[in-house]
Amino acid sequence: MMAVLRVFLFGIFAIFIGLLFMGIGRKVIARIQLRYGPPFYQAFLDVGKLFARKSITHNFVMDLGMVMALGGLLATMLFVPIAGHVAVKTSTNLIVIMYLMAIGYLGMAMAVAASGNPNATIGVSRALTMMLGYEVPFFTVILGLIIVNGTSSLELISQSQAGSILNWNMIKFPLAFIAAEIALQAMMGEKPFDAMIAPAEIASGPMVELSGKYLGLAFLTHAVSIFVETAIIVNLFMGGASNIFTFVLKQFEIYLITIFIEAVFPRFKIEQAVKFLWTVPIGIAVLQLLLILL
Amino acid sequence: MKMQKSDIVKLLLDRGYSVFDLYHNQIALAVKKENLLNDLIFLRSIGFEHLSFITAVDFIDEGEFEVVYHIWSYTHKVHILVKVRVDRNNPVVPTIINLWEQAQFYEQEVHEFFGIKFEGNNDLSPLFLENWVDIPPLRKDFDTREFSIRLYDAEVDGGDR
Amino acid sequence: MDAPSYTLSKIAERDNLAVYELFFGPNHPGMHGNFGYVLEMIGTEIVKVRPNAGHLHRGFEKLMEQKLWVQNIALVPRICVVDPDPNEVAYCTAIEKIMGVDIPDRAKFIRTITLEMSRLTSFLMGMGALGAALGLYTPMYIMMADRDLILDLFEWLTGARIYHIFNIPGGVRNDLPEGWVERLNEVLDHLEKRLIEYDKLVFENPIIHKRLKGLGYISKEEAIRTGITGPNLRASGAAYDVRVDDPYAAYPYLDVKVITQDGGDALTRAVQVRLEFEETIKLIRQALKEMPDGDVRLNLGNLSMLKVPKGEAYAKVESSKGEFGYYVVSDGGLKPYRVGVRGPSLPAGLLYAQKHLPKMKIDDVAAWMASLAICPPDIDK
Repeated sequence: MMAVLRVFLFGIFAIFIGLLFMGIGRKVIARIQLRYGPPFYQAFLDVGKLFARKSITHNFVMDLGMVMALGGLLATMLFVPIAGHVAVKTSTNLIVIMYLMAIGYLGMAMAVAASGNPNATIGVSRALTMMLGYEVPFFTVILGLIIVNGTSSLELISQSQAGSILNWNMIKFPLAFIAAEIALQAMMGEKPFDAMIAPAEIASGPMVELSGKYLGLAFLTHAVSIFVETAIIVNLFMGGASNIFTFVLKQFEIYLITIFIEAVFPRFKIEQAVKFLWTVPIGIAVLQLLLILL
Repeated sequence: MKMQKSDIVKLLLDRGYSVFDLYHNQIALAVKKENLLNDLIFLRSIGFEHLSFITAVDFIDEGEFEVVYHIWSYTHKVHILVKVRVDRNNPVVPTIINLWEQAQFYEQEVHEFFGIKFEGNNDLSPLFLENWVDIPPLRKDFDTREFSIRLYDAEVDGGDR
Repeated sequence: MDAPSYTLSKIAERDNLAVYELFFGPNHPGMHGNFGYVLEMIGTEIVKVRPNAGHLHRGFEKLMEQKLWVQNIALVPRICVVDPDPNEVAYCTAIEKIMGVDIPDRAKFIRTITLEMSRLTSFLMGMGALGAALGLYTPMYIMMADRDLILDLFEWLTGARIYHIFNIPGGVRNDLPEGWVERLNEVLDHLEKRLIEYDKLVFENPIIHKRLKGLGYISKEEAIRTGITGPNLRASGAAYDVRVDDPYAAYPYLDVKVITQDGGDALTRAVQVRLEFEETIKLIRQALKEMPDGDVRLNLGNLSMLKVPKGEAYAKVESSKGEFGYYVVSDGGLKPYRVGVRGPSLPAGLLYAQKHLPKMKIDDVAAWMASLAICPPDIDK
């Protein structure tokens, strides 16, 4: 009973923080673009409005796929330590986390491909290609950190950076941090790697056929993915945190870096993006790996 | 090499065309539709290379359509209007898509709005209007007021024209 | 780059199931205006294109035959949404040619200044649209804010922000108000300072270079032969400009520099807009300095009862997209007999769609449209 309540609370917390980040991010981008921007709680209003609408569904596969996407990401979140607390106390294995994150994408791909719109299919194929692009440098970075710490448990990696700020992996292995930041930009689907959404080319890609409650589920999935991915980076490179407040603050710093880069770049074509991801971040990550091994 | 407008007028008059001098850099030329292609090839060879526009005018009182080709010369800085008159009941003009490619779309437009056939142009499908069953709309005998009253079944009670 | 389209057409012939139809249609975030292309595609490559025009057809040419000469000036700016002033000037110039009148010098200079200001707003929107088609939204918002400063100036002068109805046969409606010229100079100074930021954001952005290089190449001979005009023609290397070749308004008194580059692809066209932007600011400054005094309109009597003598004329104007032409035929009455409008986007939007698009992928269609400044309202009229 307590376990179910714990999982539920962690889920609500992840959704809440993700939506809050989305709203503040929109305000920051608006100020960069010399306008006022929506209020910082705009994402909550959007999700509330979307869930109050009727939605069109094509078939059972679309319903299942959307729920699978949100479920996959929530399952990933259960294994990520947040300032020392974990929803499922068994293990925080990094390989399991990366594996479960792919379920989110696959669920969305299944839902959207069932709708039959060629725009959506092109968008989904781009999303899966992009996943191929960013997983390789990210895994190289993780490999380096696993070798250094001798364990693949995220909790132990974050605890090994306790002490002073000089113990953080961000300072000890800066090249790995840079490569992970570039891969994070692609993981979160922000420019210059947002070929998946691309409104001007494929009419918003996967989200073109979603309406009402399905779009609300897509928003929630995006919010949870922001939370999970920034939490992984904070644990890997910034030493976790001692309390939840500091943890969320560190997550917000990582998210702000993503927003600042997003505001000033156009998007790559998908071939250019994968070529870039397979040359520059991998080079930096391999360099870091060699420095670790030697 | 640049010619003055008066030289061009003299050259065209010598070849037997009927030339009208409109403004300081515009002249109009009236040709017959049988020689249209040869005349345009000749004009192109003396430097009139930019086809701006193809349009038509409906002279319903004279029972004729007039198809006008607007051609500009970058070297001589002279604009020439080449006019062809065709009979209103059977308007057929040869096509010029082999000389200028953009003529395809201008001819499609003129065919759709006036009903003039361009022989040699295989694709005269409607470009702008969809499911149009009336007479071509830019003709002078197409009455817009009567068309909209008929289409919308409207009651007309007074009001000035 | 030729091998794939050959193979794709062969696949399309053999296997009908591989080809699907996609509407890059009227309702699309990447399309400027209500216009569509029906694309047949294999994978993400385009095989065949069919334009789907006519959603913006408002019947202007028929409508203008049924209204008085001066009533049409309210209709004419609506043919081109982003750059409405060249329409008014071309229409009024055609009428003045048929009537054989010459407008006062001060009216010519005011016409020139409003034309160049309208060109500035259109360039700002064009550069913003090019960035937005590629995902770069930040300069688009900043440019729209700057465009608002110029539209406020228009509202002060003419009473309306976008469709001004300011030119009439015989001149312009009213003179410049007090303080307008000082405010215009302030706005121009502000725009010159902003150009440095635009350079850093848009024109020195490495991703923009990567995306636009080599896209939609048009050679000089092909451009002249197929009727491409305006900045697109000058970006392919031909030094032709209506303001120099066939001057109207006050251009005989100003020195217009014709900027050409040879490149011919989308990146060159984007840089061309940027270079002409600077040149336009210089032209406005020069016109302000040399403006003479005098009245701003001829006395042609009651304009609602204006009768234009029998005749015809073709007047053309250099707009920010190319050559805008008006062919006016008059039979001596109160209303025009025929008005034919030549829009500059027709060769690019309809002909070059069938030449360039079948070798491209779906990613580049929006950027290609924005680089050629295709504006659907003047295709459909």
